[in-house]
Amino acid sequence: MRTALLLVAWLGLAPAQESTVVGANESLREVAERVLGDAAAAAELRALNNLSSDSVAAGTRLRLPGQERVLALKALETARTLMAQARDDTGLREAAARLKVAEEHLRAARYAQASAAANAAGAQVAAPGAPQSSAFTVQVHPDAGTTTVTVTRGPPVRVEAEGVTRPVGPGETVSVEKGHPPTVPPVPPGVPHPEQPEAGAVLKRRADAKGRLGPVKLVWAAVSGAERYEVEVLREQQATPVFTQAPTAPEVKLPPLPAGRYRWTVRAVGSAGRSEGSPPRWFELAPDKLKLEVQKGQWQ
Amino acid sequence: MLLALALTASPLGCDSEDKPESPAPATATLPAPRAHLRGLKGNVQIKRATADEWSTASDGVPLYENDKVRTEAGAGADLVFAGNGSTVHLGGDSLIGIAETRPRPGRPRTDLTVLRGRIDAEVERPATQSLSVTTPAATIQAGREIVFQ
Repeated sequence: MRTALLLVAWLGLAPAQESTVVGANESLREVAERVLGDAAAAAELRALNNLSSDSVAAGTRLRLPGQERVLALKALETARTLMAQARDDTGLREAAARLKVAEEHLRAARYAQASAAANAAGAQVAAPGAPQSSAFTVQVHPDAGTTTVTVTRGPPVRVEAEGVTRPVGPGETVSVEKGHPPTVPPVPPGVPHPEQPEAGAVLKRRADAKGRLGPVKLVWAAVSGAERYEVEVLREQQATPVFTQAPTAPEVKLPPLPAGRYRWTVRAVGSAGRSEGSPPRWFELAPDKLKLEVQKGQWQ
Repeated sequence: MLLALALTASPLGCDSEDKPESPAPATATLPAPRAHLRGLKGNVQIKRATADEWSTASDGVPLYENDKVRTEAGAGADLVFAGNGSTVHLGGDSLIGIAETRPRPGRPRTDLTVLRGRIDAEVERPATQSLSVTTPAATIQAGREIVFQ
């Protein structure tokens, strides 16, 4: 009895037109224009009716898409609107890719998939306040399968190993060695900040017997966890350092150098690894002209 | 007329639940694909669960349970999961497998095994969806809590 009632209900709700007959001298594009209001929907009719080309004999009865197409078109329209209204580029690229997939599904008359992909595209650029997607990276190293998990955004992911589960939030990383529970990898020391000399400073120094200038002292802010620092000084347009040293204190005194422009960087080294190098800082070494003072006397 | 035909064809007064159960026809049904490969870059290969050989993957190819995908260094591909719109980008020099899944109504779930390399995964709606990634060392679960029953 229920089957019969469902069938009656279905008959009442079904679209009025489920098929159409191709008219004389009518192309598939013209049929699409006539029944779907869009000549470009010929591709859908072709997919829906398993046609190999756009030429269809007059009198051929063609199956037409139903309500699913309406829903898919609505989902696509919503996604395009949301993308047009997106205030920043966050997720826009992914949304565009999903929208493209949705359009491919639509052309192939896969309306349910088109709706799903379009909804996903819309959600990608939905206004703030909408549930945030979860993004994370899993890296399996070529050793014995050591795994590093880094969460980029969204709610924490759960990393489980050896019966221990560790939540990993956005910006966090955990590492798991095979046969061990997850651990937070040691964080390398921060990047030192150069302090002296000032950026772009012109330092006038007296030349020594060989014409080299000095002294110059480089100073940077101490970094927590640093056991030593690695300093590199390079002359302008040269790739090879003219000076390298690994002091334990946050300063170093340079040996006399030829006049010219120099850049220097420093990185911190600790038990957890090396930091990134600081941004290069420039200074210029120039000879300090001697002031000639002739004292009064018999030789004046 | 249609209604008359429909009513004639329908066993009125006899619900499908009322009928004695008859054995299901012995026709093999194709499993639903778990994901599709998209955006292939470089040499990406696929090995079907039932195959012994690796073959070059093509864009849009469906992936089923226990299929494997591998990439050469510099290659990459996107796995777009059919069930929930989750996307996993497979980096170069990687090897992954589509693991078995146990979907439940309203609780989509995806299982992926990463044997080597790197994946960048995204779960669209973590409040209702989940992605479970297994590696030789750990299991990573994103999205809603997965309750094994």
